Amino acid sequence: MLTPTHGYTQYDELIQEDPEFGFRINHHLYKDEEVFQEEMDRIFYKGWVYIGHETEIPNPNDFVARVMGQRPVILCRGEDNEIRVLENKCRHRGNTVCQEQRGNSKFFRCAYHGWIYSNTGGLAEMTHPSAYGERLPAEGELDLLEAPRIGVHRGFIFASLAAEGQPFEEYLGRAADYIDRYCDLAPDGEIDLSAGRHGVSYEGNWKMQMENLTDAYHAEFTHATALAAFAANSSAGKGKFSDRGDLEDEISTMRDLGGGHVVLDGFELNRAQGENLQFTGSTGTLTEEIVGKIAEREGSREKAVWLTHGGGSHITVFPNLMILWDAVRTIQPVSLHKTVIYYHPAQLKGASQEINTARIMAHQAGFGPAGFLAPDDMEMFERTQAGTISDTDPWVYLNRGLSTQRLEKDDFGVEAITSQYLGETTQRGVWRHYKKIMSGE
Amino acid sequence: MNKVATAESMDLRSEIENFLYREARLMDQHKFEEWEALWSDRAVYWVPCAHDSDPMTEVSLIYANRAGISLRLGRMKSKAMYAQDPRSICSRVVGNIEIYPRDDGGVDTYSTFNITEFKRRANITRQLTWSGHSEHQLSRHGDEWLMDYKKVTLINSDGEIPALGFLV
Ligand code: FES
Ligand SMILES: [Fe+2]
Repeated sequence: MLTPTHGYTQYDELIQEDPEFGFRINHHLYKDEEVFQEEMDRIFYKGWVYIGHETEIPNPNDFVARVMGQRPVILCRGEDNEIRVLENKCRHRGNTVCQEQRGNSKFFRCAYHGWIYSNTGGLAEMTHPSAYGERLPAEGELDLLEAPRIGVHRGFIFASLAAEGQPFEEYLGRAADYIDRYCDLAPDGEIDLSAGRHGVSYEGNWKMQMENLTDAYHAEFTHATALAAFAANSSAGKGKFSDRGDLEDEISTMRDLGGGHVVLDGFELNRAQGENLQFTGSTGTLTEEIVGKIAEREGSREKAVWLTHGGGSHITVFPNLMILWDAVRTIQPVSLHKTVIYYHPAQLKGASQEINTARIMAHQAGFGPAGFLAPDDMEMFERTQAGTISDTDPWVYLNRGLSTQRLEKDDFGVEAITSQYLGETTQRGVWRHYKKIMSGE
Repeated sequence: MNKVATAESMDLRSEIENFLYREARLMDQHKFEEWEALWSDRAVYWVPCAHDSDPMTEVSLIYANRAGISLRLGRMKSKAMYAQDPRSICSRVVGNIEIYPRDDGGVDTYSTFNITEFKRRANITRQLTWSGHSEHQLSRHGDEWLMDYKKVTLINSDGEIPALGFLV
């Protein structure tokens, strides 16, 4: 089922750390087809990847079509209520069996020769089986292939196509704390990703987005027009950026949580702003409802306020899940030079429709193909990709904050490599882990 | 609906067609201020993401009132909106225009569009096509027509689409 590992690329030559030059990566990592194929194999087929959320398939027989690495799969809840990831590939001649993006169905029928699979993966009906004679495949032999491992944390569903490997809890590691804090912002302690999704494509390598979510450095420049527009939007009261700006820049921190998971932590910023902040992520007008409801749930207003302080953090869960403000984002590599980003607004269960509508509006003002922020990011990714053609000096140095970063306790009281917002600690954290995985360690 | 055309209805048709053609040209030419002046204060500008969606409970590509439109245009006017630096060169055809007069003197229209977008960057050029349909609600203010409502449905709105940085 898995592509063999070739081991052609020497990743320790492409990602280097040395006292002399610091930390550098080679931009062949963004433009070599061999690297891309090895990433598919080692990261997307052997490792854990985020695949979808329980609230996208809440009922038995619900399904959504997804792509894992480059392989079409079906994320479904069987009639037995079990969540599975099935390869979207008929076991007869290999046709894709599900063409819809989402739906509710007990069966997937391959149109080519009419084989029917149940949503638990089993081959329910083979047409004209007698033609096989003595070579009739045994029961179960031609079921849809299924991801052998599924891990679910707070509704976030991850899958691995490898039967063995790192246990799920170990993979998720410290990212779990930050996912928990995000979900705990919902009065019912759960988020809901059923409000649709944006799909934005760009002509560039998938890792551009992986590195960018926790690149605080670019915002002031790339997003100058968006920041100005949001600041001008006085009618929105405490809108997304209305009282941010320099403050965020000065006191946000970059944290490397290990395992390739990194965060641009907005905790200090939020704490500095007190209770009247954009704690739901970005819609600041409805503070009391949320704080009140969480305080009731937790039996502590202090705890509620603590939770809201995490609101603006940018979380990257290696390799393809990102959580920021009002939305959950996934990276979908399409090919070496093409990537799609999906944005799912995250609704807070137990919050009023007024709050959730405000979250949708705040999200779409910034993101999606016509938002104020995302198109400028995509533009930068395409320009970076265009620049990688020049090989005179293929090195990218990631030395910002290298000499000043330190081990520091985060708000959960756990030590993480930390630098202030202009540091490249988070990029180094992602690359260090990438190198480990790609070197087969 | 298959009424015999009268001189009066033909006049209305050419007025509305002219409005839609002019709007198309202003969008092609990135004439942000003139395009903004086509909106009434009741403005609702909606570009849905999924078909048949509810903008209050599902994500859209754009959902803006009058203030939101101004904010958007303010950003688009800047050279620092990098997704449009340099600006796309656009050419669009608006057609299949259906016009439905309302009792209050306004009109509802349905029309289709095809846009070709050309982008040039340092060492790359790209030519993209966009298509879909628009639904306008227009009302008469003195001797000019203004848009109260415009809904733009791209054929691939719920698909994976590149940055949409010009006006639709
Ligand atoms: S390919 Fe699916 S039934 Fe033949
Ligand atoms: Fe950005």
